[in-house]
Amino acid sequence: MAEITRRTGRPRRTVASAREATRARLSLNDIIRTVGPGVVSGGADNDPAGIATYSIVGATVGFAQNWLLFLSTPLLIAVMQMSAKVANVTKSDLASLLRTKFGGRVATPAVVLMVVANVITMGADLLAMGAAVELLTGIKLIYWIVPMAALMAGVTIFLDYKTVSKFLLWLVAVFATYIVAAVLAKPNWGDVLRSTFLPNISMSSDYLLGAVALLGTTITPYLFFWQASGEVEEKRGVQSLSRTNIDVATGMVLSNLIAFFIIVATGAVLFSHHAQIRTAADAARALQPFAGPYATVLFSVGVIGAGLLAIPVLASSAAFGLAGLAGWRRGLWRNPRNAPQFYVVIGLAFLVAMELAISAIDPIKALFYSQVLDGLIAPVLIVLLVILTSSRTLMGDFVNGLPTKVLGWGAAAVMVLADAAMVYQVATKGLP
Amino acid sequence: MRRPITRAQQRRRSSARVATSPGKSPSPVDAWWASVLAGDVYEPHPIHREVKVQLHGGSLRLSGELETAEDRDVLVHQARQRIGHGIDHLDVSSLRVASRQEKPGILEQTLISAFPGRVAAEYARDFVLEHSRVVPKRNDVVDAGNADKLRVLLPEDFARQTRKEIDSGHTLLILKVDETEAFKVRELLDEDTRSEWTVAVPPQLIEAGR
Repeated sequence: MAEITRRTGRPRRTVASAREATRARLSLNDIIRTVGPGVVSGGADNDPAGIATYSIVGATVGFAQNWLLFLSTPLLIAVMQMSAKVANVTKSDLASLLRTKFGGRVATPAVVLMVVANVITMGADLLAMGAAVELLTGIKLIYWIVPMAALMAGVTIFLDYKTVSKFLLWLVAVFATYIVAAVLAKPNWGDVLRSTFLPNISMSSDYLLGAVALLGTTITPYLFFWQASGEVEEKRGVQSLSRTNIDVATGMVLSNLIAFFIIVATGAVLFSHHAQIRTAADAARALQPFAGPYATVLFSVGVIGAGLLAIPVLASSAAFGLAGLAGWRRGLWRNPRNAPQFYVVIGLAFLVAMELAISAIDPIKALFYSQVLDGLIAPVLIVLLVILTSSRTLMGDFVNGLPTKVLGWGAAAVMVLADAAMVYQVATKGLP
Repeated sequence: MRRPITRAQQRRRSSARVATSPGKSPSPVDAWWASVLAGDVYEPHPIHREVKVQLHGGSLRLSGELETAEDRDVLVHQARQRIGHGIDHLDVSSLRVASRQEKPGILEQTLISAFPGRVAAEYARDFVLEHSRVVPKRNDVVDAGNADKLRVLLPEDFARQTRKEIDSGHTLLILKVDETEAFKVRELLDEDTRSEWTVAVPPQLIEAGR
């Protein structure tokens, strides 16, 4: 292997591999400046469907699935870092890579399933946003769906979404109040810690559906495509992999930390009183220990912010997937006239989602089951992603190490097991 | 193979094209400015593709990210030249220079694109080099006539796979570029040419002394 000298300005040092040449020592200042796109991804991970799912899990099974959220954190970080790495090494987005590596027979169904799940989730998220505005204004949610969808489609197609998303993160930060709400709800912290570190498995349909939805909303397929496409748009390359890894890990840890406190707050407030979540107002009650009569306002603002942040990500991921598959021009930096098919897919995704939202009857059920669908699709994409990033031909010196492989296969295995148990239980005993 | 040109030569050529003498066909940059002033603000700049343009009345607003301060200066200078010739006011406050931590000269990457024939591959090469302003370390068009080159140009796995593509009638365009420029080249090859597919050999250390 050739030896070269890094141009760091530091004492001369030789490196023996491309991977070593890209390892950087980062100062705290570097790390703070690095944090950005990964935090947007983390924010988009906690979309209204995610908030609803965590709330339902907390209200239905209490803290019993905290361990699953804890377990899913390193798995999520590993999968997201693989998505970022494969894009930086191959200079390609995920759909285009799936097409060139596995061919259309594998790539097409994988991408189409992701697109279908995204559009259904968008519909459910629109419903949730409508319900949140209804809580604030008293005007029925159905009247809000079209204007909200039109607003978000306009922002995604005609404005610079990446800049807008940085402002939207502040709206989502409202959910940090769940941390205070969880503390003020005075849960039994012994129970919380025990359920976080000791697995507690039940074979009931309720529990298994909740587990699949929780995994599906946490390790969610559209984020893999969004992360990879984001790296291609940023054009940072392998020299920034250390920074990217920190950014991704920060975003995912923050996202799961909020999810954890949503479950703790809803578990302490709703599960302990055997209350169920049937409406957005029920879900908002978990914030009452902190916000009292303003819980509804706080919850609504958070859901609206989460929707504004996540729905364009869902639509764009669908467009990146289909455009990558077909070889169309793509990218949010492009003008609509310069990448017409890409933006037509975004527009169509909004139209279909709007139609789904208008025709759906029960927002909470729609939100929850859209995440169950994500949970069923995710393992397929994780397996493909691990195969891609474990190929030395494709990745060279940047091929997965053993810990990443273990975490990647572990993520797929955990999700397949949860899916299989849930499908068996629902097939034999029906939906709860 | 074409004789490589240096980045400085390429920049001089780009700048020279900006000021086209009367009677000659306009350069891509001049043609772009003409279309912007005519009202077509959606056509991407031939080199700085991420620059966004808004034209309201006589006010021109340029925004987006450029690679270097020099690029920004050149673009702003070109815009200023047009004040009084189609625009009255210029706003470049949102025209930023990208802050890049990545350093050239450490890694290199080879990109391979498949085309239906040699002519298409050669057009694609000219287009990509013109629009990316990248100076490749190698650029080769390989078809059945010179397929033996693959063993020299590519690692064994890639040489074997691409040989099959050539046997099935494809022509390959192979560009070896600095890793920091590979995203740009790949994007152009993949999305803006008639390539059927594009793959990248993993980044490799630039060998000492080269």
